[in-house]
Amino acid sequence: MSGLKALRNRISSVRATRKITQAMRMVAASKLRRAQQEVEKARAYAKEIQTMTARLARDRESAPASSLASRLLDGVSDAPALLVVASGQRGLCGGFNSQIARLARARAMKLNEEGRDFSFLCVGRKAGDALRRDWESRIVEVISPGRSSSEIHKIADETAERVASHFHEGLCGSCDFFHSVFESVLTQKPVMRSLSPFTEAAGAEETSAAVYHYEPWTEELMASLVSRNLRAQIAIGLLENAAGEEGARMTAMDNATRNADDMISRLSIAYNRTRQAMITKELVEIISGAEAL
Amino acid sequence: MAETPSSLAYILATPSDLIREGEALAISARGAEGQFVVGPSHAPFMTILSAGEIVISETGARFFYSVSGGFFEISEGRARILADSVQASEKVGENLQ
Repeated sequence: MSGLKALRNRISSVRATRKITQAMRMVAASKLRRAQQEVEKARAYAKEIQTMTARLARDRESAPASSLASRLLDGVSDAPALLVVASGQRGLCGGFNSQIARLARARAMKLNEEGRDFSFLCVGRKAGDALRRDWESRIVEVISPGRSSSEIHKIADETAERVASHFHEGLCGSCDFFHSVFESVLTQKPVMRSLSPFTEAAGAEETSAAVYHYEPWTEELMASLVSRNLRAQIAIGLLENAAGEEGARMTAMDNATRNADDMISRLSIAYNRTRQAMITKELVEIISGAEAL
Repeated sequence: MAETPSSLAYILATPSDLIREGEALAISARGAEGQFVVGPSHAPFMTILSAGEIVISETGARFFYSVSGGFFEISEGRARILADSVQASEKVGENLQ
């Protein structure tokens, strides 16, 4: 009898878990849809400002090499690198967070081999946790990523400000940004993008030879364009990351729900077999008792 | 009258949203050095936008937006208005007669 009760308890506990995973899957699906819309909405600005910055970077000549904008555009070789790592704030999303952390770790190892100093700025707790094991002292800050898109934009502005102030104080000379890109619900690809030195996005190679007229003089325009671009690129990365996280969570919870289904059916079979065995046993006892009389 | 050979493709976007894109006949805005109007074959030009109104004239309609600041660029018949924030003004969609 106790075996039956234990099985019944397990079935009901797996059922409860299944309910939770299914609810989480549905929540992730709806959040994913919203996150994807936000990415689409922000993409145009990020792409255009990148093109504009590229054009200005090509045309500049008057700006002094020591200005913050120039340093951000060119990077300072031999200075420490700042690795900005975006990840989720929560787990339960498969290998999403660890994939990003792995990419950042590989980059850090490479920098280490080259003998360059580096530090981490984490946006999202999870990557911070993963990197803390090896490089506790190198994590300068862990910023919590926002939930809504307006929060994410605000966090992106804050992060960009931190990056700029690192450059300003000469604490770093290059900056890499790690985040995940949503490709499909099943695949989220972790990527590394160089925020400094400035690299043009692939496909933006239109080299117009036209002579530009800049108002006001390039230096001021450059300073504000470069800082805007930094904010926009971090924002689009964080938004893509948020979409990727929800996609990963959706898949993970879908798998969990399916596993729970399997488990329930296996446990139900075991339960039914045990019950049948007990009935048979009782029948045999009754029949043999009757025969003995 | 023959149709204007080229119109000006434009995009008006903020960091969080794509506000409007299309083909315009002219765009007027306030730059760092004053008000300006650009047409389809304007020379390449880039400026910081000051807070003020942007007027986009399309065939048959004009659109008014107030922006808080941002960047403007025109090159090769394509204009990019990247504003920090945009508010559609009252006179949106006012028909040209």
